[in-house]
Amino acid sequence: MSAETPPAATVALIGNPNTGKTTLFNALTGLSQHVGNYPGATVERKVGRVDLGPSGAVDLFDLPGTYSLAAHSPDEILAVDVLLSQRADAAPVDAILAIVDASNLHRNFYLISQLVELGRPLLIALNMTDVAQRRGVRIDAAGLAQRLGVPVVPISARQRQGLDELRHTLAALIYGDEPTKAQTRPTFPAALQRQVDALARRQVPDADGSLRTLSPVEALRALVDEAGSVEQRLSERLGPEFAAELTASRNAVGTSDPLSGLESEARYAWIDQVIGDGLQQPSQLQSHRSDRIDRVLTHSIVGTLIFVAINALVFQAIYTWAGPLMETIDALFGQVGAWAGAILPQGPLRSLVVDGIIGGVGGVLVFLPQIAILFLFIALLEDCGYMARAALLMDRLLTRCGLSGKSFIPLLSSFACAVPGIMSARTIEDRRDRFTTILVAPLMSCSARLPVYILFIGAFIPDRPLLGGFFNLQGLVLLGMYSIGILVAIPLAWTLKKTLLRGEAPPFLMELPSYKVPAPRTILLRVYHSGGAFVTRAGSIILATTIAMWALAYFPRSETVIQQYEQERVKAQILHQGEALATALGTINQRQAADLISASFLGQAGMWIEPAVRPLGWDWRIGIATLASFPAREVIISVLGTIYSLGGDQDEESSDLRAALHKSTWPDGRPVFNVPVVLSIMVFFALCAQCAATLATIQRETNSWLWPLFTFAYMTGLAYVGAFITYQLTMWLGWGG
Amino acid sequence: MQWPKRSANTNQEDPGLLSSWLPGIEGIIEEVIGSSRLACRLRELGVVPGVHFRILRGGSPLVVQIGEDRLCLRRQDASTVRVSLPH
Repeated sequence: MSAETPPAATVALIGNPNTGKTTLFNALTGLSQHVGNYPGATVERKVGRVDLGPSGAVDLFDLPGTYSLAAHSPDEILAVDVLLSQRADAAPVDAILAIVDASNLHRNFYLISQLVELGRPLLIALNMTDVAQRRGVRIDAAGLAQRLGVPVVPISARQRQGLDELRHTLAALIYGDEPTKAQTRPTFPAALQRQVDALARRQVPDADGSLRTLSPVEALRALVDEAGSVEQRLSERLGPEFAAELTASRNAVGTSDPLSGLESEARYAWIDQVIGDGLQQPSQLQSHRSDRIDRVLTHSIVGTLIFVAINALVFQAIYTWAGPLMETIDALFGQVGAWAGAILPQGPLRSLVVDGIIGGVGGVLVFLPQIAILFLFIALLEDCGYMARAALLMDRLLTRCGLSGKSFIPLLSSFACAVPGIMSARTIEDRRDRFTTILVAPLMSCSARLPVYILFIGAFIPDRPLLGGFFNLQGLVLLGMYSIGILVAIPLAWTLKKTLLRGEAPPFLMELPSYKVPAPRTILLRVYHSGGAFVTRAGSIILATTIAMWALAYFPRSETVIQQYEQERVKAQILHQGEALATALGTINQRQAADLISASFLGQAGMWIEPAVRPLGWDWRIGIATLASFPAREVIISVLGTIYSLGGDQDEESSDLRAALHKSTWPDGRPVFNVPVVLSIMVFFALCAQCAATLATIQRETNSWLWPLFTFAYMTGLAYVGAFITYQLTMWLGWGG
Repeated sequence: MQWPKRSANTNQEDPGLLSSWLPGIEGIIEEVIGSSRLACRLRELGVVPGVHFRILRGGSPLVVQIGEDRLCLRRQDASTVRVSLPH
């Protein structure tokens, strides 16, 4: 045959949430899947290649889970646009693969009742047949297929059953010549249908100016979804008179009942007729095992206690497991840096490569274990169904802040890293809720703050047992630092919802899926993608800004200082030999580095702001280190190492650095670091927006520069005030010793 | 055999709202009130006249079993749903 392969057909995968859609997508596409972004949108674009055998391959697009084509959230709007072939950057869909949950057929068929109206080739995958069977539900798939006029293939995505038949049927659907479009569709009351038909004759200018006729599907949505996405978009294109036109059409239907009621009743009547006797199931409201489990897990008191215990367990596991991995990565990069330092000649290039690039990349990757482990737990809890229960339990508290249970996962994820956490806020439908969640997410104490806490708590907070050894002062202060973010976030979210992002508290409506054993493949792929997002998105920005900071700390390179130390080196070579010489030269180099950083742009800036940070109890060295950590907060540790002439490879456990901090003094001999100063530094780091990657992500997710600037401003302001109050208060309390 | 047990007539005699319904007692949906986004969403999720339900968890948010579904919504939002005893 011809040597040229025709472009692969496009298939859209769509279905309700919690129907195993992701499992099916993974099973069909394997590792060929690619996750990206639709340009200009914040929604994920997930596509993979499915091999259909001799017929060829298709590109399968995984659309966000949705209950209906009446789209509300950005996720859902995008799904509908792709299906209606409305996106210029997505090929028109050749076929639709719809996945339904066999154990909940009627509700799943609501979406099907809309898909059959699209007039595109449709294939229904009947998933979770094993669960359905266990519940005594029997489905006549062949009969269903016959009544619908589209193929219905029973599968079990988790057990990987029926997939071959699915692929085979999909190939026949696309490349075969049998009729594949639905033979039946819901009938609406005549009065409504008349208005839909009238509206569907309308010509609408497209985004590029060309005219097209409105489809009946869009017309129905415009009429029924008052102020919905379709009406809004058409009002943009057709002008404000369109809203009046729509109202007139709605009134012309001539009923006082809501139009969406007419639509849903018509659809369910159709569903009853199509499913008919094809479904045998117990008629009583059945009680499932999940219900029994939920009696405990959603219990206000016991459930909440279990929830707190699970959280504690997760965080404990992170610290226990991540530790050794992080040390390995740290050591590895240390080695690479040493090797590069050995082979490169002295000069800016070596410093750039070793301190800037290798230090920067290593600094990002060292957090990967913590982030991966937290996302592993989140994926496990979400896949087994527990996360929905957690959102339920948290809804009460989050409502008081003006948010809802849906904000729980984004905020929880932000404890690992705000970048993926903020990205996961896309599932929040309400724009004001979503933005508020995004704006307070950076206050959740992320992984990068931990080294800062460990350094200062380890060095300055006494290791004292409290309450008979049950608690420890150091642990308590650490808990306090974590809590500060939360305690500030609560009134802040409340205030935002009352002022800038004012609006009605949106309703909280959520399905509680049945509990199920998590599928390893799904979990691992989720962790892989979240980790990847962190490394590529956060990592690239952190690296870029680390290099920029490196430049500010390196230039200008003071020749006077270098000459000065050159003389010292010459003296040392005269006075010492061998080991002693090596040590002496080492010390000289470190002191030179300290003086050079003071003479650099960064150092000058630090000196310049010293009067501003004095009320916080800081000296210019702390000022420099804090300025340097604005792109990535953990950088403070290696910068402090450099400033204190210890070289830049100090870490938070380093005893040399801790000793140097203790010895550091003001010109008048007073120690720089005491408990109030240390507390004020930590409070500053707890509250400040020191992460360029987070700000960049906020820009992406809100599609504006205003919000990241606002975040930077409010957090820096809060941090300054917080550090000021902490220092002044604790000094007044006499903790300065 | 149809799901969920759907009755042909809806009875106007026992008005009640889902928000004041007691857990454990089986009831029947009379109507979802209004055209708010919540109301439309509820209808899409199968909360339509004639459907049998039972509240599994009281308090707020409450958990309602609608056929095979378990839906979770706040108590005050549940006042959009008019319900009654099965007949």
